Amino acid sequence: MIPWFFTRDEIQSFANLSLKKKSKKLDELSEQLQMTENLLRDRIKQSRDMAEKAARRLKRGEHEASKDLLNSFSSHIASTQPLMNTYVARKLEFSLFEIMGIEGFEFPSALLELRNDINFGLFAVNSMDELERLLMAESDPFEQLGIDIEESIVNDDSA
Amino acid sequence: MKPIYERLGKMSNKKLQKMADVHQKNLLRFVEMRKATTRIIDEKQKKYKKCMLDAVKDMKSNVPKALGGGMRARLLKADITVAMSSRSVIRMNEFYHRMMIILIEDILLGVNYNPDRVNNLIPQEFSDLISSSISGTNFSQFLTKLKDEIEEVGQ
Repeated sequence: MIPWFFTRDEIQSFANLSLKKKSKKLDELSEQLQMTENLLRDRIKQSRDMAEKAARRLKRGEHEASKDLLNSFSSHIASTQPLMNTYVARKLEFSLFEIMGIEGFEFPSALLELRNDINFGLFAVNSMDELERLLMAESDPFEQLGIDIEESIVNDDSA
Repeated sequence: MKPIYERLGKMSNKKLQKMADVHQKNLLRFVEMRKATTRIIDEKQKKYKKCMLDAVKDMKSNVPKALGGGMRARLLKADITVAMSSRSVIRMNEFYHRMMIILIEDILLGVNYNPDRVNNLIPQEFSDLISSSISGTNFSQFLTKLKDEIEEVGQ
């Protein structure tokens, strides 16, 4: 079965566009993606600034101020997730359009006719909701570092 | 729909040769794009690894600083997973064109095909491609390996 991502109307209609229109569409998507990325980077920078400020406060023994900043950091991370999901969805779409712009591109149906055990990565999701769930469920760098953000705040509080 | 080798088998040699040339050009485009994407993945993975290693070091002395590093790692990881997914589509196209070239060349040489021939064609190479694509998107496995590496460095 062809993954849902490839069967979406906008994906199918892009394949039928002229080279000029494809290029125009790619420019539009690139601009949109850049804006999303800039916003995301800003939010991440803000989060890092908060964490670094918290680190400085902690070093100076200002535990309450550090805790406040870490609380803000924690809520900032939560607010970043929906933007991250949008960024990933847009980047996936842009990447696929870029690949589709290459002469000789074939939809998965061409190869699925030959083999049906191909993994299409994030493109294999069945809906945008599924993509979001996948990203949310994915192991987090914090988890990989053994950091529980809430716990970190409690520990700093008790220090 | 008739199997691909049957459809190709009915074409003239001239038409097959022309078709092979087109697939060859297309193959080169996808090979180049795959190489470029792999370079991007390697670069991002290096950055991600460094980011995580720095965070591990910071963890010992400064947890808030480690959290800041973790935020940067998040974006890098998202970029890596998107690039790996894109690469699986590029590889699919690369394999498709390579397979078509091999099929055409074999037909031109009069190789007899049976229905399983296509599935068994260059099995090792194809299984490598498939397993690489899967590992490219198997997040838990990918990150578990990374975690193990980080722990090794930390010890």
